[in-house]
Amino acid sequence: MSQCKQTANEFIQNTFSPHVAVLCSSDAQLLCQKNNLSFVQLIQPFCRLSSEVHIRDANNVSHAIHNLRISACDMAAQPPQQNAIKKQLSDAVGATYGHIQEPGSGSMLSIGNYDLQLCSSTPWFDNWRDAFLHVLPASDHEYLNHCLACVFVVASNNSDPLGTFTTLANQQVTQQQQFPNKLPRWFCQGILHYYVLLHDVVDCDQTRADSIYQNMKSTFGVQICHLLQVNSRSINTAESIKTAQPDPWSQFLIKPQSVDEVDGEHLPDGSPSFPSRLSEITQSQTQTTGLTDSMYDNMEESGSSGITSSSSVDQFSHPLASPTTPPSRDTPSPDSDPTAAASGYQGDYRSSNTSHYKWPERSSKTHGQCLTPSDLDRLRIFMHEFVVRALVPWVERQIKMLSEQVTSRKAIHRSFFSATKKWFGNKPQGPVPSSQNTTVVYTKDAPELQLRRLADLAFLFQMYDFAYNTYHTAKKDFNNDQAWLHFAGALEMATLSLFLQGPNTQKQYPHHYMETAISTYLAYSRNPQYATRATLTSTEALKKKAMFNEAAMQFLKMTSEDSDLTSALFLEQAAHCFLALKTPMVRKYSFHMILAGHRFNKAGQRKHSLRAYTQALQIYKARHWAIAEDHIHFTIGRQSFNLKHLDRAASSFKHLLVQESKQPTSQQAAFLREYLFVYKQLLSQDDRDNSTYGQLPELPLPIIDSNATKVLLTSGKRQKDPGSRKTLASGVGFDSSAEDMAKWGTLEERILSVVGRPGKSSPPLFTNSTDNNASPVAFVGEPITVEVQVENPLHVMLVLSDVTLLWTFVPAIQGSDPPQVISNEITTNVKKSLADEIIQTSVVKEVIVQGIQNECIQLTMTPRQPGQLRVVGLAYNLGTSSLAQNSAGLQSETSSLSNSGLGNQTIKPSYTSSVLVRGKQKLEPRGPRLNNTKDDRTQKRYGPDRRLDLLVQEEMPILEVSFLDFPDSLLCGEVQCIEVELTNKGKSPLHALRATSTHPRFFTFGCGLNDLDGVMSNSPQQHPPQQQQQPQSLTSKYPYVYQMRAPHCGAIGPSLMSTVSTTSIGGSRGDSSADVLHIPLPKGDGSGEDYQLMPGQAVKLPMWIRGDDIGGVHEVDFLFYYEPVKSLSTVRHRVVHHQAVLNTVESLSVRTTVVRPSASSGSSNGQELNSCIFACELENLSQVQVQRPHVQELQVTQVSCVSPHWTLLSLGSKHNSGVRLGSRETLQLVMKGLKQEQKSESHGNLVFSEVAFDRDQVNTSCSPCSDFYWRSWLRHQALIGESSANSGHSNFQSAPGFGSSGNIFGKDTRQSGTGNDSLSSSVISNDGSSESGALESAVFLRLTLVFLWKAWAVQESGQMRVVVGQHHVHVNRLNTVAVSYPVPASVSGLFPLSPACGAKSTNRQPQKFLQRNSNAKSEDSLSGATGPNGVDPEISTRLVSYSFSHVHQRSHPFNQGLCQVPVTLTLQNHSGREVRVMVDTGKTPESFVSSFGAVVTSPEGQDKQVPPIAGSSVASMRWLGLTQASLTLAKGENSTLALKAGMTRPGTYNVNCLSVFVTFSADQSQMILQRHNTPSIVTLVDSSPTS
Amino acid sequence: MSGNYYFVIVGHQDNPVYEMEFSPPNKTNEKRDDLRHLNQFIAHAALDLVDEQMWSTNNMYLKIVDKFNEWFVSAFVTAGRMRFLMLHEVKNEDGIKNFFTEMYETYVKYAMNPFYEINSPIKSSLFDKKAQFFGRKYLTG
Repeated sequence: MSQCKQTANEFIQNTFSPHVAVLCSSDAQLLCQKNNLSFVQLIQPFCRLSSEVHIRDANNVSHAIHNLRISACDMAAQPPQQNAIKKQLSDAVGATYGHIQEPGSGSMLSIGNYDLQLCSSTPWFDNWRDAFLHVLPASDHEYLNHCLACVFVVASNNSDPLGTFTTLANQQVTQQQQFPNKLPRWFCQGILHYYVLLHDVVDCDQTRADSIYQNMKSTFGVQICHLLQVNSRSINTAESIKTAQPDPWSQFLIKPQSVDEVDGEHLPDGSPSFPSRLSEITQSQTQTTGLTDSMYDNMEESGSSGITSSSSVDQFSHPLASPTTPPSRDTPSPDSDPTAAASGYQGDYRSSNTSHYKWPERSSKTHGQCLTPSDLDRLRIFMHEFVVRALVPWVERQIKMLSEQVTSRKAIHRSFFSATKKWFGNKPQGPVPSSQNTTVVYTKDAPELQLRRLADLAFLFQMYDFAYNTYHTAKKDFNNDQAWLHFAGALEMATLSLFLQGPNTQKQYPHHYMETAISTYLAYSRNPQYATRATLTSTEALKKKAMFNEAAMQFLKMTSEDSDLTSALFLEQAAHCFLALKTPMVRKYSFHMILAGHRFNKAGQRKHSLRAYTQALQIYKARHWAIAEDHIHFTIGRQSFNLKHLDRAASSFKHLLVQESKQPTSQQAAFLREYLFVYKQLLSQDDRDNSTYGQLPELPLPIIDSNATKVLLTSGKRQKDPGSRKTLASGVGFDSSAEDMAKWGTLEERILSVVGRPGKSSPPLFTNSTDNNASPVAFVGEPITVEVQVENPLHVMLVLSDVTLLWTFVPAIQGSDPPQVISNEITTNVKKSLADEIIQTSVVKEVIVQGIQNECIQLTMTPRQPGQLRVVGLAYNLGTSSLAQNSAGLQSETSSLSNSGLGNQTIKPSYTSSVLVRGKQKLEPRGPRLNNTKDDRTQKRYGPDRRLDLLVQEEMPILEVSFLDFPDSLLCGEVQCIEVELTNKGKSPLHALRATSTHPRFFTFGCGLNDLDGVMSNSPQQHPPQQQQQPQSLTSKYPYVYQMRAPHCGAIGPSLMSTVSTTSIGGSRGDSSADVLHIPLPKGDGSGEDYQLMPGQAVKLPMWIRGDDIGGVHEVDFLFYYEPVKSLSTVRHRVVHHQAVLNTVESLSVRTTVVRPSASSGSSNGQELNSCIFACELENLSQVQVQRPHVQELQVTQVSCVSPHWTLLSLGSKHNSGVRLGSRETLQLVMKGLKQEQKSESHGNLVFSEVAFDRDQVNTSCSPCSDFYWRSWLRHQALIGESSANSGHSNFQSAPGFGSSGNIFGKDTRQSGTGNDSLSSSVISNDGSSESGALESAVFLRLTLVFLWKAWAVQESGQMRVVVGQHHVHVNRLNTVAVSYPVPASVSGLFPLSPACGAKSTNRQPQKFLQRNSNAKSEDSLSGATGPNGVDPEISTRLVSYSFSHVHQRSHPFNQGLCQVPVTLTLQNHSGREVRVMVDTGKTPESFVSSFGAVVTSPEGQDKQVPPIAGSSVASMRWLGLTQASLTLAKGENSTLALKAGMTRPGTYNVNCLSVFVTFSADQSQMILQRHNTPSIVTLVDSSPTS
Repeated sequence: MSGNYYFVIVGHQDNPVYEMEFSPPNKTNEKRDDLRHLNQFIAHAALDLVDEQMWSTNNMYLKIVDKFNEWFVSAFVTAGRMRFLMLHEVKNEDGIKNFFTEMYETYVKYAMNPFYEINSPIKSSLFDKKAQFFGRKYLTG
């Protein structure tokens, strides 16, 4: 609670002290003037008597009076005007502000959760209280402040002192009787007159003074005269001495008002009630300054022209008076005429106010310089004499007299008394205000008033017991008379007198008396001043009695709409009372402080308002009462701004913006505008102060997420220009995810491993998820793009303009000087342009961040020198959207303004344009949280993040890659030729160009094209003689996608004969480098063997691309790798990224089954045995669709077979139209394959055999066809290796790799995977070295059918386009379905052809795998009996094929007996080793089925395929001759065996009823039954004559 | 039953956990924006009296605890010492009591959510809906 200087008792006693008037003659006035004081002021310090005074009451009982204080007032002084009073009060409050501002003056208080810093005292309140009581006008209902005596002062040098005394006395008497009464008021008719002769010791004659004094004593009486000697020191000596003598006057004089302490500005506050609109501030900004000036003017001229100056008065609302409350002078005084009074005051006013306003001037000098200490003693003695010898005896007399009157009156009957009242009381005296008509008006000497007089006198002279009783009596009287004003006064005083009796009374403190008094003052007599006074005294008493709650209530009761200052002070006092409670009500305190602050604001007390709000903020801070807190911050901001505490204002407004706001949008906009406005002013002020020159201030908005900052070492992702045919390499953009980057990294590492320089990849993008331990390396002349993510927490749009990056740079150029740090955070032109020369920094004109939105700003820098570059922050102008919203025209104006500003290369914001603030924010990304040591874990530590610390190195070559006519969509398998342009944009040559892709099968640069170049030295070409045709030059366009054969073989028409060519395409390329392509560069201009791309040089290369076999959208990533020819930096290579998105549309699907031909009787030569049949099912998958690309017709132009051994032959005759397929059509195509004799043992060679259905024949053995074939083959192998797990990355793992890759799969798949491993690797190696491999060659084919087609595709635009393409079918095994769709071939390949698994879909069912696995197990378990070496029965039963050749039809006379049919059994060994064959004619294969079911039974139930016809014919057919034959077949050898079959009856017979066993090991017992199911039919007709 | 209402749940650190205003459906509340901070001030100041009075009764519902100008403050203290405050311009003792009781139940259910941390702001559209519903039912309706 607030502490006062005085105790409650002192305060109340001081409030009610005996008043004495002083009337000075002019010469006496002059005499006092020497001391720079008036007489009243002169005696003021001595008015309090230090000694005890004794007084006798009516009963002659002596009372001691302690600390009696006499209140002297100048009779000549005029009561101040209303405005002056108001100003005086306001000044009293405003002037005391400075005392409590110093820190540490408050005390800390902890209440519950709250910590509160408090001011222990409220001196402004005390000051105001004193001032208020000082100016409180006397009223007629009480006599407490009526003058008891009048002191007449005349100087001793007066010519006629006695005469003057008489004149003055007369003047007093006339004044007292004058109508209307002038101030001061007098206690009663015969007041005490006291005569003082003022004697100037230096100037005047002592003897004369003594004689006059003697005269006086004889004339007026000894008791009431005094000779006062002053000015013992001459004024000259006084000026020379200048001693530091105590100045007892200073504390009593009203301090001069220094101009700067008066904050004249008043906010025109629109709303009278507490909730002021927060948005109203806009108007205040414009008015404030103007108002200030006018206020100062008014104050200066107020001395002459009067205080009622025009503009300020209506701004002040009078703290005491209000329109509804009449001034106190108009309240009931029986003899006052308000109009007359007003004119009277007005008349005197002019003369008197001059002296009043001279105080400040006078008081600037020291006081009492002519007074010696003895003079001061004399003054003290004078006062004591006056009181003890004159005043007290007079008072004693008066008391005696009054009490006599009162006691005599008591005898009078009450009825008589009321009659008296009727006669006297109701006499109309002057116009009584109509509102007062219920109030009784007493005459001056009415007995009730005498009672009151008596009580007042007793009270003044501290006879409180007596006073209380008297007041109590008076109270009853007034109450009966319904004289409410008097009643209230009596109540008030009764309470106080009881209080002042102290603890020695038994009576309870009558709190309700005071309550009634105050409400009566307010309600009935409309006298708020007296109510206020009663409140002041009462609350003081209550506080003393520790009734803080009641005190607070009383304070609150007195807060009204009328007076803002009073209300504010009272609210504050009430707040303090709440804190002083036993359980402090801290929240009530804060609330009332807010209310007080609001009222202070309205009263123009800005500092106090600010202080109150700051106090309250301590409670509300961080409690999430968002709106309330906003209000406080806003008010603090506004008040601070008005008081020119700009930094504090700015920080308060900052609070409004940064935290989560619940304000509506318009409010936020207002906050933002306010903040910008204040901040701009603060900046301009700082600019003037020059303290932070060149440094940009930090802005709070928008919020920058430093960790979301991304750094891209290229110029950013380029979007494809839809207009041009050229597509630049897209590069890497900010939207690249971590997976993307990992993908690029893998690609780069792959190239590096091929190049033989394994190292880390150099990612071009640095984000929060990358490893930022090392500084990114950038190069001179190459742009660095930084993406900064900003967040707008407000609902209001933010406009950032002239956004640029701030950096510091340390040049790498070594010198003797220590390196100098260069920064662009400077505002001067010269330095700025210098900085721009080092690092060219881009400026983003305008970025608009919508409310509650994130925005990414991309900024580029281009370093011009090597060195260390650090991006430190972001500089921008912060503005609001108000301009943009208002009018577009204005916006363009501002933009043009900023344009012109930029033209001058100035970064300094022009404050004139609009509300824009130039500032910066730091960019400090934080590294990952450390987690290594215990310290790291327990504390929050973060690693370094160097993504913004760039290392700029010397220039490097820059490769620019662009594609011409890169298609958006392709058909599956479609092949297109596009052109790639490679340009060196850098300043140094580059070489060793390589490319790779996530989809290596997608593109090829061709090989075997550039015979002359021979760049591809690692893949030597073997061109068959017929291929030597004119090589196309590089620069020419590529009219054909494929290279055509020279028309040498099919001059007349399309040749269906196969063309065979041999090339070794894959042998040496079967390593991992197949995925990395070396890009052939043209020969440098004679600069040696190195093929370089010189600076500025551009090379165009053809590139073929083939649509993926799987329809859909594909993302294809290209990585181009190159090396600088001479590298200065540690960076040895560079890369270019390109990402293409391709849509592929389904086109053709091919399913191929290869079977061995069954023996046909027609061609029994051995050739047939080395052949097979390709049954192809072609399907056009494309459906005719509107608005979407599709294939209308598809023509298969050529089928090529690529295999080391097999060649392709057409079975059909010539057809010109080709093989055409409409939409969704299916076509069966059967072709024949022939196994080539292996001419050379170089196993790498592949044979290309072609069957063309069109006029033109494509050379499949060279680019691009062969390239795509090879890639497809590799992928096929990879798919086998992966079994069915389609994990995309290792798709392009090449053959040797899958052994290892297979091992990483789960247990189930590994079993099959390893099995496949051995199979597939043997397929590729095919060297026959391993036993199983040799056997397997019987079943494995290892051939690929390449279907070349031509399609009439309809594009989205509806245009028709002829496209060409190719599909590959890899056939690994006999009797299996191979499809062009790249499913894992192992699935389809391992299952023998059967009706049950004919559909492609069933092949993929997982049950099959399980079945196959169980097969493998069962096979393992049986291997001891049937499958030595664990050879798959699929293989071992097909090692040797056999066929029958015999007549198909024969007539035989069966009546002649048995018909003998000679049958030649041809046996062919397919395996790669020697086998022993045993032919047993005695047993049919069926008989083994029953006995050795496990051996021959295959999972698909092969036995069911045994034709039913056999069952019937077997019985009647018998082999004749030998029943067992045994022979040995060498590798690939065939042999014939002559047999004879005998039939007894005519009919149709299947001669395939013998068993062929094969053994390939030494163990003869392990004979494996060979499988051959095709029946060989003989039809026998009975030619015998019918009987 | 007309008049505006301001309901707030105050947490243990005197922090508002949940706030909602109710106004009669027919009245336009353009003035409300200006008074919003006053609502908060009054509610916050009333906490002193709530804390004082909660020990003087066994009831959770404390009836009117404070008054400022035309606003009354009714309070309800839960077993967990969460304080429900209601600012209202007209007396509506039963309605407010019912509202408090219903909101208490709603709050308890909400607080049982293991992912809700006591004293943290309640951000739930379901809670909003419930509050709106009970507000219409007992206060403005």
